[in-house]
Amino acid sequence: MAEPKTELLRGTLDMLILKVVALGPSHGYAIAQRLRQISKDFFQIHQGSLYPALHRLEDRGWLQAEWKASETGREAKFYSLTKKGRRQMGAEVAEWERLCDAVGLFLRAPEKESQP
Amino acid sequence: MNWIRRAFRKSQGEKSLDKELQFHLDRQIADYVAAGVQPEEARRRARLEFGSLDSAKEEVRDTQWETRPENVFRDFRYAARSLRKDSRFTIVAVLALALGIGATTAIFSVVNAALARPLPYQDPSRLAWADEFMPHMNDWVVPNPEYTNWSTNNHTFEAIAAYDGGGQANLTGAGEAERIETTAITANFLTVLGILPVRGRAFLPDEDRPAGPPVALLADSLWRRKFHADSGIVGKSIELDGRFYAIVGVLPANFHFPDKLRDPQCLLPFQLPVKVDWGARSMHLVRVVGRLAPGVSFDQARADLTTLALQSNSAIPAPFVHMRDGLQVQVIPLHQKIVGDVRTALLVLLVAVVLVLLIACVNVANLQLVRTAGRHKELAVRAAIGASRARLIQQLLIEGTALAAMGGAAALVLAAIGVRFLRISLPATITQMGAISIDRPVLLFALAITCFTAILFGLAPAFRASKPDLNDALKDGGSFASGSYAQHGLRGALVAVEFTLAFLLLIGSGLLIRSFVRLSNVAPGFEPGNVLTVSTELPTAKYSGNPQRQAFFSQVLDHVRTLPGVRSAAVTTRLPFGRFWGSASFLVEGQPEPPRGTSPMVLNQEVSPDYFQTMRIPILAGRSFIPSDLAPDSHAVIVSAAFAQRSLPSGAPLSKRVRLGAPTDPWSVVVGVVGDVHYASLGVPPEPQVYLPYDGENSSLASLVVRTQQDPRGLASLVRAQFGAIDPAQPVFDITTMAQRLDDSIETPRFNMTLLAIFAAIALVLATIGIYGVVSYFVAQRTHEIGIRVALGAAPSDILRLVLGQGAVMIAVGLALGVAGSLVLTRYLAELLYSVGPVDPLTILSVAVLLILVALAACYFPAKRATRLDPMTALRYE
Repeated sequence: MAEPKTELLRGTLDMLILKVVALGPSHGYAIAQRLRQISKDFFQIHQGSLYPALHRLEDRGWLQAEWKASETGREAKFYSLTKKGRRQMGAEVAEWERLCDAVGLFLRAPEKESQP
Repeated sequence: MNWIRRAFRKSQGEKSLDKELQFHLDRQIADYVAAGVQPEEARRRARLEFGSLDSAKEEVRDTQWETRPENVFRDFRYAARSLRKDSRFTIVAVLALALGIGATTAIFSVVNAALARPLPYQDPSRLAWADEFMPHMNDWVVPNPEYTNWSTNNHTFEAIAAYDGGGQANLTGAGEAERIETTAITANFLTVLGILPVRGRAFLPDEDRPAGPPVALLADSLWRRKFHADSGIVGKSIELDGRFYAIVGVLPANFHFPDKLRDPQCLLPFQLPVKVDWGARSMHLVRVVGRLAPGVSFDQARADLTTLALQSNSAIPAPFVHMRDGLQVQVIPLHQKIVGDVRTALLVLLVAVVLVLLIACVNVANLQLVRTAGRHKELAVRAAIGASRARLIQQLLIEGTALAAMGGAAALVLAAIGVRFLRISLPATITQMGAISIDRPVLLFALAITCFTAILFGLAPAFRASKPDLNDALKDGGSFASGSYAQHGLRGALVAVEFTLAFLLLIGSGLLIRSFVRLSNVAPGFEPGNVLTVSTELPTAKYSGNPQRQAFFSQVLDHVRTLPGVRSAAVTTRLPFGRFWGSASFLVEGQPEPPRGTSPMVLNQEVSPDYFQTMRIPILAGRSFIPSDLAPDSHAVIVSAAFAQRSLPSGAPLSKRVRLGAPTDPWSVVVGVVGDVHYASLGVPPEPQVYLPYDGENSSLASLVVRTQQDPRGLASLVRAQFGAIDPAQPVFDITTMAQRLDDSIETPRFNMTLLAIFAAIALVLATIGIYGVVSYFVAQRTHEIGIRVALGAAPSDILRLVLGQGAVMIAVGLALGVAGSLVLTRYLAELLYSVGPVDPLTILSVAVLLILVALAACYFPAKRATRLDPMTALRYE
């Protein structure tokens, strides 16, 4: 069983999924593939995390799902972003960027400053 | 785990999830194949990567519930999965609930039907039983002039009615001849009860006068059985003992006679004199039932009737008036009269029910505490990933409800079986009026209280899981933290309480079992094995004189004696444990004549010469009867040992003379002394008894006792046929074996004992489950600690001692409280005991030993498991 290379911060996976789905409606397999490709194999999402997350996002009304024919012709469950989901994604991305800025600021701070 | 999913059928969402995951897997395989991997290998690799489909689905389902507060059905499914995971716990808890609720409901239904349910008459709270106590006769009897006096002169009753002592009659002319129960009632009797015949009418006021018309009312069952529910029955006639009675009506199907020992098939008018006449040559003893006027209390009614009774004294002829010295009148609710003397037994059972219900509640509470404490970590995790406290409570509530629902369903089944069992094993003395079925309010009460307990204690962890000790819980899996001392103390205390309650029940049933064993070991005074009994009553219309009756029975005896397998046969006018007996005043020769009406009384019965031999009653002195004793001038009697000892103390009893009956009656010579026989009951000492040779003199009712070589039941129909061969219109009744009669006579104590023993067994099982659960939990929680101990060199015996010590404390506390409680409570059982004191050291000791052994066994298995722990595994164990 392939373990994710990096332990994702809680909540990060949700954001990444929303981001991927924002590119266009896609099914679970495609979402997993794209997450891997975009992150250059950095994120390998285990199905045991992906599908619970997809269903959770759907339950919260951030994603909506629809069964339709996939590129191979077979029916698949396609997830797409709802308006609520788009707002949520914006909020999460903004939050994430603030967090990154803060961490970055903290890491770039001169080391001496931490001395009393 | 599949059964429950199948039970819920695959939902739409479930199918969709299957399809979605399958799609993912297939695409993965297809991509590998496209990249040049062999199909076989591609499938293997994809599967490996994907992991188990089932576990992926499980995770989807599990993560969903935190966010779906609205989906109760899904919560139920989750609850089912969680209960299934803990299947051992679930089975035990369901069993505890079922036993607690089911058994208590069944017993309570019966108790309630017998004791608490209002009588099936109109406005039953105003129905009264009136009686007077004659110190001289040492008995409660009402002579008919008193009834007439009360009924016509009272100021406190709407109406007063009476019925007679009841009788039996030979019903002929409607199919096979049969003996049926009859009772005579006054014309207003049904009006007082508020009962109307469904066909025809009740008796008219002029029908219960002396020389009134022969009329009859039929019970519904007789009307259906013997008259094929003939809708034109009113106006036809019924033949009883050779007399014709015009049928005036049929009683309702649900009518019960207000006397639990009666079930008359036919009611006749009680033809009493209209005027109060205390000088009449013969009197009837009557039973009096009245309906109080609205607003009148039972005490007021008693004062009223007492005044009237004292007024009658002036009308009573001088020689008899002293008989009424110290007369008392009682007026009590009819309900109390009917259920009164079973009250103690029923209340004891009721207390037992409450104790079992309490034990069941304590047990379920305990099991829930044990189980949920083990889930502490799981709930902490759920709280950590965002489930609110309300959400956790909802989930635990639903789990508790699911558990309670399963327990409740099992309890329903058990209660239905229990009621059926009790209905058939209920002794005649407790048989109530009206049908017994599961008592709904009681069932609801028992369900409510135990299920409430289950749910309440199931919630316990929710209040801690969402609290700040979350970190602790996550860190060490709760192995030390959740087994906190206070919690463990509470569980231990609950188990101790269970043991106390179980101890009380075991003591109660132990005492009843001991007294029942003593009772059934009482020698009846005769040999009951291989004896058949059969009774008949020769109607006076047909068999008018002694010679006819005697001739009939000697013919029957001759026939029966020649049957194969019959050793001997005899006639008697009284059977052991029978309903019929006679008594007479007596005087021993040489003693002064007592004032009239104060002679001592003795039970007497007539027997044919072979009686003592057939019954195997030992002849202690003198001889048995011989045919010549039947000669008109012979006057031989045989007395029992008790009579000889009490009334013939001076010297040898043989050839003493006694006179039975009035001063004009002849003196009889004592020709033999026989052993005492328990005629009335095994529970009371045998009374003095005088035997006379059977000559048909005093009683048209007599019984045959037949000693056989083998099982007498095989001969029953042959013996019955002998009666028919002599007189086809002559029915017989009470065909049974002596062993059966003996058995029936101790039916009530056996019933009490059985019920209490069932309760005690349930209590023991529940208490054992309780202590097993708690000790197992102790071991599970302390696995880590035990591992350390073993690693540090503790021997298995040390571990055993550690674990057993846990149980021992609970047992000791429970037993101490139990002994103390039993010393206080068992005195209330005294009325039900026979030759065993309420504080019986042997019972206390054996119950204590039993309880200790069972409890130690329950602790031993988890303790043994603890000693086998591998220290390495145990240390790694979370």
